[in-house]
Amino acid sequence: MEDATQEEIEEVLLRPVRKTGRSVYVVMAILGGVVAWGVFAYVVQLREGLAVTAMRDRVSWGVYIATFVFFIGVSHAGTLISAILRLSGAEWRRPVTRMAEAITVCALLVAAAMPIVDLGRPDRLVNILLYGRLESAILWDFISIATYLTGSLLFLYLFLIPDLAILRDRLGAVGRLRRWLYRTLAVRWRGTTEQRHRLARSSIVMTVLILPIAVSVHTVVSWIFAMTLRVGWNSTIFGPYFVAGALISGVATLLMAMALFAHFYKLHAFLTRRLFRNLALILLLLDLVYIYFTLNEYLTVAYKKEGNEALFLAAQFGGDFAAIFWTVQFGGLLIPAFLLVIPRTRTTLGIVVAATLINVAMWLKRYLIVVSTLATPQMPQQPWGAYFPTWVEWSITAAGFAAFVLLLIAFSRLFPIVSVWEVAERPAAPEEGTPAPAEAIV
Amino acid sequence: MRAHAVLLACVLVALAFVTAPGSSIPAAALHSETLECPHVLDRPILDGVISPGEYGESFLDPGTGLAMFMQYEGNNLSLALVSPGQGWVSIHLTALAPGMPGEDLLLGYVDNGTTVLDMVDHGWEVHLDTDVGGTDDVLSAAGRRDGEGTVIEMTVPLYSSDPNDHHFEPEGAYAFRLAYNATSLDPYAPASAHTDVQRFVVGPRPPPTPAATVLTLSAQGEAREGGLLVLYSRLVAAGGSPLAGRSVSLYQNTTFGWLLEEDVRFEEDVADERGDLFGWLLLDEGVTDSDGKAEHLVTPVGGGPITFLATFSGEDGYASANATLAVDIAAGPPSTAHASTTAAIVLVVATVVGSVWAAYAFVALQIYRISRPKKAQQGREAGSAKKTRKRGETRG
Repeated sequence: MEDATQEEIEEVLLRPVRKTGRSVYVVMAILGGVVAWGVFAYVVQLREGLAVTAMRDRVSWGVYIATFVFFIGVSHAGTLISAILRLSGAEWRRPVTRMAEAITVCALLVAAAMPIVDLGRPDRLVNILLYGRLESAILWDFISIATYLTGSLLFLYLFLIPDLAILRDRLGAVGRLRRWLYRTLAVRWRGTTEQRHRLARSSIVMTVLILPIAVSVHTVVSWIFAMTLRVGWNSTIFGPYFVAGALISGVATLLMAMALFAHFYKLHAFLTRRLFRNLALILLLLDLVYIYFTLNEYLTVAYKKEGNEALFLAAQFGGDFAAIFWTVQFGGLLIPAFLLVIPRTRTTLGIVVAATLINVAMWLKRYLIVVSTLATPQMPQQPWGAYFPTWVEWSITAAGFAAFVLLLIAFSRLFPIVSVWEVAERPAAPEEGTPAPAEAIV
Repeated sequence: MRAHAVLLACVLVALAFVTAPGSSIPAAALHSETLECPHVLDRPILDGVISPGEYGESFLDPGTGLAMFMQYEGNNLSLALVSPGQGWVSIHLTALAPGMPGEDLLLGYVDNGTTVLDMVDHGWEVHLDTDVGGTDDVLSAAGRRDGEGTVIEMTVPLYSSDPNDHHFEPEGAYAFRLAYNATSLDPYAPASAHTDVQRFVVGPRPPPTPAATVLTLSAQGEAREGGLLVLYSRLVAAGGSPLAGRSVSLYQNTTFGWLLEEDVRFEEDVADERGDLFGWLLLDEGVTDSDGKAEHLVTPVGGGPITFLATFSGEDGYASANATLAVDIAAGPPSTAHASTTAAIVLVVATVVGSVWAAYAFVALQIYRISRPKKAQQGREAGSAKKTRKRGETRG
C-alpha cells in the first residue's frame, strides 16, 4: 500500500468505521454479555460486601489488584510504539500508532476501575483526596495514574485530529450524533500551516513527556509493593522489573490486537508481515530483558534466604505456587523466546502465539506477585494464608478483560484504528538532490 | 362389737405406721446389674445414720431386707450394712479367683456400743483374724439399733497386710453376700437369712491432683520502642522449690493474635470486651533454669502500654500457672527508615507534577488555538490544500 492514493487509503481504513460486519456485532454481543454478568457480580459484591470474595485479613489483595497491575502494564503499548518509535523516526510504526494509543487509553480505563472494585465501598475513593497522606504509595499511585490517563487521552486525541477532520468531511452518510461528534472533536481542523505547526509543537511536547510519565506510572505502581517490608515484595529492582513487564505486556497486546484487526477488518495491506516481524524482534528483546530481571530477582533472594524468604521461595519453586511459577517461566518467557528467535517459527501465527503466551504469563506473574507474598507467613508461628477466588471475583475480572476488548472495538467502530493521515503522509524515500519534504508532524 | 374392735385395731395400727417417725435408712437401690464401688473424695460420717447421698453405691435385697452401702476414698473402703433384725449383720466377701483361703467376713452388732469383727470364714467354721495369725483391720465403726433394725457403718483398708483379708484393686471385680441374725448378737450363731452372691466392681481411681505451681513475671531493661526488654518468668512449686527444665511461653496482647488453647487458665481475667481470649501473640518460648527462671528477650514495637502473659501449661504432675505483666513502653524517636515529609520533598514533587500538568495545559491551549484559526491564513491554505490533493490523484 506504499503507493496508494489518499482515496485508496481512506477507502480501506474507513471501511470499518462506515459499516460493521455481522461477526463484529456477534463478538460485541458476547463481550457485552460478559460485562453485564460482571456488573451483576459487582452488584452482589456491593450488596453483600467483600465477604463474597476470597479476600480476608491475610490475603487482602487478589485477582482485582493483579488485573490492575496487568492492565497498567498493557497501557505501556502506546508509550513504546508511539513515543519511542516516533522520536526515533521509525516510519514503519505509522500503521500501528493509533492502535497502540487506543490500547493505552482502554487499558488505563479498565485498570483505574479495578482498585475501585477492590475497595468494596466505592465512596471511599474520595478518602484518598480528603485524607491522603503524602507518605502513602497509594496516593502516589492515584496521582501518577490520573496524570498518565490524562496524558494518554491528550496523546491519542492530538494525533486523531486530522483523521477526525477526514471523518467530518468524507465519511459519508452517518447519524447526526456521530456527525456532531466528529465535527466537535475535529476542532475546525483544515490542515492550515498554523494548525499543523501548533499540532506539531503539541505532539513533540506530549511525545517527550509521555515517556517519563509512563515509566513513572509503573514504577510508582511497583512501589506499592516494594515500599513494604513483606517477604517477596521488599525488593530494590521492582521499579525496572515492573516497567520491563509492562513493556512486554504492551507489545504483546498490540501484536494480538493487530492480528485480530487485520483479520476482522481486512487490514493486511497495512498491518504487514514486516510490521509483525519488527514488533516481534522488539518483543524478543523485551522478553530477554525480563528473563534477566527475573534471574536477578530470584537468584539474589535464593542466595541469601533471609528470614521467611526461604518459605516464600519454597512455595514458588516447589510448593503451592509452583505450578503457576513454572508456567510463567517456561510457558510465558522461555517458549515464546524460542518461538521468536527461530526464523521458522517467527511467522505471523507464531508471533501471535508467543504474544498470547506472554500475556497470559504476565497476568499469572502479577497474580503470583500479589497473592503468594500475602499468603507467605511474615511473623513467627504464623500459618500460611489461603486464597481461592470466588465466582464474583472471576466474573468481575472477566468483565474487565471483556470491557477492554469492547472499548477497543467500540473505538475502532467510531475512529479509524489505523491512522489515515499518518499513513498517507508517510514520506517517500527522497530522490538524490531533492530537498526534504515540508515540515511533517511527528 | 368384735367387728368394731378389729376395725379400731386396724386403724390404730395404720395410724402407728403413718405417724411413725421416718426411716433412718434411705432407700437402697435395687440392682439387676453389677454394682460399682466408686471412688469419692468425701468420707462418710460414721454415726450409724445413713444420710441420702452419703455413699456412692447401694444395694437392697428385697427378699431379706438386707441392704449395703459402699464407696472407697483413697485407700480405704467404707461399708454400711443394714438389717431388719436386732442381731448381728455381716458381709462375706467371696473370692472369684481360685486359691483364696475362705471368705473375708466382716460382722457387726450393736450392744452398748458398736462392735465390728474382722473374721475369716473357712466354710466349716468361722474365726477371728487375730485367732488365725491375722490382724484386726477394722479402722473405724459406728452403729445404731432400733425397732426398725440395725445399721453398722465401718471403714476397712482396701488392701491390708493380713492374708485373711480380701484385697481390692481399682477396676477389679468381686463377689459378696450379706447375712444377718434376727435376734442373736453371738457372732457364731447361724444366720437367720442371707442374700444370694452378688457382684461389684471397684471403680477406677481418679488421676492424682497435680501439684500447685506459682509463676511470676518481671521485666528488666529498656522499656522503650526499639529497645531490648528482658522479661524473666520464674516457676516454683507451691512450697517454693524452683522447677527447672519446664517450658514457659511468653505472649503479648495485640489486636491480631490468636486464641489460646482452652486449657490455659488465667489468674486474672485477661479476656477482651467480647469475653474471648483473643489477641495473644506468641513472642517466645523459654526453658526454666535451675532457679526456675526463664529469660525472654523482646524488642517492643510501638509505644504505649503492653500486657505480657507468661504461661506454664502444666506437666509431670504439676498444675498449669500464668502470670501477666503490664509494661509502659516509651515511644522511640521517629524512624529514619521511611522518607519524612519535608517541605523540600513536597516542593520537588509538586514542581514535577505541576510541570506535567502545565504541559498538558499548554497542549490544551494549542488545541484551542487550532480550533480558532486565523481567517486569512485559512483561506490561502484551503486553496493550497486543494491543489495538493489534485496533484496526489494525478500521481496515483
